[in-house]
Amino acid sequence: MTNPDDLTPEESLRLIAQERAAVTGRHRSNMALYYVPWGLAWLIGFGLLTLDQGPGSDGPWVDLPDALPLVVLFALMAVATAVTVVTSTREARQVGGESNRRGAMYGLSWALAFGTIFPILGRFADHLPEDQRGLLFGSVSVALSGVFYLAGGAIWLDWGMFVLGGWLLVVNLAGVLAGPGWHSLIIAVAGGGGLVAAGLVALARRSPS
Amino acid sequence: MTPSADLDPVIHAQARLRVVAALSALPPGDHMTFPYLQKVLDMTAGNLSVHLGKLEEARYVEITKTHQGRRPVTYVALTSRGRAAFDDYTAAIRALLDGAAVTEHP
Repeated sequence: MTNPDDLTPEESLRLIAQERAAVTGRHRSNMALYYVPWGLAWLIGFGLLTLDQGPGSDGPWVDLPDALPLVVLFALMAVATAVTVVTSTREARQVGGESNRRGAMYGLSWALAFGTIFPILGRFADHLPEDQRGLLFGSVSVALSGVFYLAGGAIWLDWGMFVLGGWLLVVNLAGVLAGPGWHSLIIAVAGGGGLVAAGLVALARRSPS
Repeated sequence: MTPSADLDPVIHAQARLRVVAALSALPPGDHMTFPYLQKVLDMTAGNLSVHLGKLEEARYVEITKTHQGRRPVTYVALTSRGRAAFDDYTAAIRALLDGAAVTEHP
């Protein structure tokens, strides 16, 4: 039954497609693990900021404890970072070579960028009113993420990631132009939602059958 | 002449075709660990070793034994020769299918 001559051309092509899909499918499931936790962190974190800031009104929509939105946002971002690190280390243990070095340099770039740009923002934030301070940190963070997704799309020739990056940059600008509370609302829905959608697209493309 | 007469006998066997196809999904310059390849293909370690041996003999795959920290780890990668052979094989299969389609409608 496993006699080589039994392999018809149709079967050969089917096996090739099947095994290639098995490898790329695993990678695409991992892509969902990179996107979805960040999407949920933005959705919930910026969602709470929206309620607290009450875009378009004089006061908050819901009176939340002062520190709550930021504490939740940072806690969820810490969880998302942990998931990203675990997923990438696991992937690096299964598949290695040039992609690993590319991924390591890319991950290090995120850490270096945020680690050095946040102190710079902090230096200027002291001179701003509180709502503008939040907008400064929020908008620069989202812009930086957008630029990284654009670059990631270019590195891995991944259109999904590239489109996500462009989308984040555009909605981020729209949010800044609309004002502080609106920015949080737009980033929660369009930014967090966009990240979750990118994860779901990766999952849906897992098996091309 | 059987249709498989012109096909590379090293690749034209179910198990080895599956190994080569899985490895071809990685970009050139990348390798995967033995246990990962085993999981993807759902083969026993012994069976996979035998087929990898034949592919290595033909210099289609490169097997590297090294250490990850203290753990020994075995990497498997398609060589450029193996990738070319796989591309030729895929082209030959496609040509067979196209040929079959032509003879069906003379």
